[in-house]
Amino acid sequence: MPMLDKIIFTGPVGAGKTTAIAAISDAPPVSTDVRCTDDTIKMKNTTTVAMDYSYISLDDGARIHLYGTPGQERFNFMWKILARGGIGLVLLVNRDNADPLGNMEFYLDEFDEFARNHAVVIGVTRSGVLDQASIADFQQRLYERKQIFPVFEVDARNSDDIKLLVQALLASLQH
Amino acid sequence: MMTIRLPELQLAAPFLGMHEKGILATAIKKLAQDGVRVRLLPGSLREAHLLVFDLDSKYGQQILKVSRAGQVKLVFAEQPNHGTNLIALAKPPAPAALCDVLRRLFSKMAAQLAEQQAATATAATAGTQTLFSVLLSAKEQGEYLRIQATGCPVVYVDGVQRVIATAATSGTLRKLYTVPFEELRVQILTRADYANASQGLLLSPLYSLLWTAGVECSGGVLLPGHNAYQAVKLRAWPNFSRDNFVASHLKIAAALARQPLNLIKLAELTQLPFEAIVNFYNASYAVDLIDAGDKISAAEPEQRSVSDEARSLFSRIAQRLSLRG
Ligand SMILES: Nc1nc2c(ncn2[C@@H]2O[C@H](COP(=O)(O)OP(=O)(O)O)[C@@H](O)[C@H]2O)c(=O)[nH]1
Ligand SMILES: [Mg+2]
Repeated sequence: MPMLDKIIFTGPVGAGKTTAIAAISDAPPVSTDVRCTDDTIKMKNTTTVAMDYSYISLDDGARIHLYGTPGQERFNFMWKILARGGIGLVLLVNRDNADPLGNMEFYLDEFDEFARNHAVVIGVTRSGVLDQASIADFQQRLYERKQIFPVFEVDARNSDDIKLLVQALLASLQH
Repeated sequence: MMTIRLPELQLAAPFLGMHEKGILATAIKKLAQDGVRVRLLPGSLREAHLLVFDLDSKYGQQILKVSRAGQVKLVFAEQPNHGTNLIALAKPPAPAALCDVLRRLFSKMAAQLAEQQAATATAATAGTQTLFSVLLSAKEQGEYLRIQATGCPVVYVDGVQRVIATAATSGTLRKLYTVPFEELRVQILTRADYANASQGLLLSPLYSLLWTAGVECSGGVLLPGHNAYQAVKLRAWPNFSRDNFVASHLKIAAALARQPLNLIKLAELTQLPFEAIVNFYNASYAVDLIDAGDKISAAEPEQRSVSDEARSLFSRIAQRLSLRG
C-alpha cells in the first residue's frame, strides 16, 4: 500500500476549497500542475491540471498534502491518481446556489470509485437566509444513495470548521 | 438521576466435571462477543440466578433439593426431563444447545430488567422534567412553548414547524441546558400567542437545540420504551458544529453510521461509557436520525482493516488538527 499522504478538496467553483485549504494549512495555497494519466482508455491520455496545493506538517515532520480540484470539469479520470495515497475526500458544496443537492450528487458520482474505498465528508458552505436546501435535505439525499457520509454546515473561512470535517473523515476511516 | 443497570446472568456450576466446565466456559466467552453477559460465580449457590450441574452425579439430587424455588436449574442428564424452572440437556451437552439456552435465559432476564427500569424511570421522572423532555414533547405533540432562563433571551419553540424563534446566540442558549430545570420558566402557548410573541425574531432549526439538549440533559437514562438490546443504525450523521464539538461523538457516529449495533455493543466497540452512548442515542433519536427494526438490514459490514501504521498516522493528523488548537 502506498504511503497515505494527501487529502483532496473538491466541489463547485466558489464553494470554498481554496479558502478551506488556507484555513488549516501551514502555508498559503499555491497553484500547482498535476499530471493525470488516464490508462482506462486504450489510447493513453495525459492531462495536466492546475490544482490548489498546500500542506500541513505533523509532529514528526511528515507532510500531509492538501489538494484542491480545479474549475468545473469532469474528474472521473482522476480518481486513480487520487486513490494513490489519498486519505479521503472533503467535498464542499455552497448552499447559495440554484441546485446544491444536484451539485453534491455530481461530485459524488464523479468520485464514485474513490468514495467506495475511502472516506468522504461533506461541508455545506455559504449558508444564509435564502438557503435552497436544509441539512435534512442533504442527509435525506445521502440516505437515498446509501452513502451515510458526515455532512455538516461549515464556514470555509473558519479553521475549526474545516478541522471538524477532517476529524470526521479520520473517524469514519477508523470506526 | 438513576443509571441503567446492565443485566448479567449469574450462574453457579457446583461439582461440574472438567469437560462440562470447559464447554460452559467456551459458551460464556462466545456469548460475551454478542453482548450477552453471563458470569460464573465462584461457589455462591444462593445468589446465582441459574444453577448448572450434572443431575446424575453423586450430588445432583441434593443440589436440586437445596436450590431456591426461583432459581433456574440447567441440568445435564442421561434422561433429559423438564420441570418447573428445570431445563435439561442430554449428556454431553452440545455447545450450540448450551449457548442457545443461556441466550434465551439472558434475553428473558434483560427484558424483565428493562421493564422494571422503565417503570421506575417513569415513576422517577414523572415529576422531574428536563429541557430535553420538554422540547421532545413539543416536537411530538406539536406544542408551542415559551422558555425563559435568567441570562438568556426568551426562546419561543414551534413544535409544528420545528423551529425556535429567539434573539439568543448559541452562547447564551447554553444557559438553557446548563441551569437546573427548576430555574427555567416553561409555558405552553397557543398558536396565536406564539405567532404574536415570536414576530421579528430570527428563526433557527429546533433540531439543533433538541440534539444538544438530548446530549446534555439525558443523564445516561434511555428514553422510556427504548431498549439497549435492539440493533439500531444512524440514518445520517448529526450536524455537528464547532460549538458543540465532542470528539467521542465522532467515534460513536462513525461506528453507528457504518453498521447496525445495539447500544451495549456500541459501548463495547467504542470503549466509551454506556451513559455517553445513551445520551448520544437519545439525542439522535429525537431528531429522527435513528433507524431500527426492519428499516435496517442485518447484513454484516465488511470488516475494515486499518493498519497500525495508518492508525498512528490518523491520530497524528487528528492531533495536528485539534479544534481550538
Ligand atoms: N459567507 C461565506 N463565504 C465563504 C464561505 N466559504 C468561502 N467563502 C468565500 O467564498 C469565496 C470563494 O471561495 P474560494 O475558496 O475561492 O472557493 P473555491 O472556488 O472553491 O476555491 C471567497 O470569497 C470566500 O471568502 C462561507 O462558508 N461563507
Ligand atoms: Mg479556488
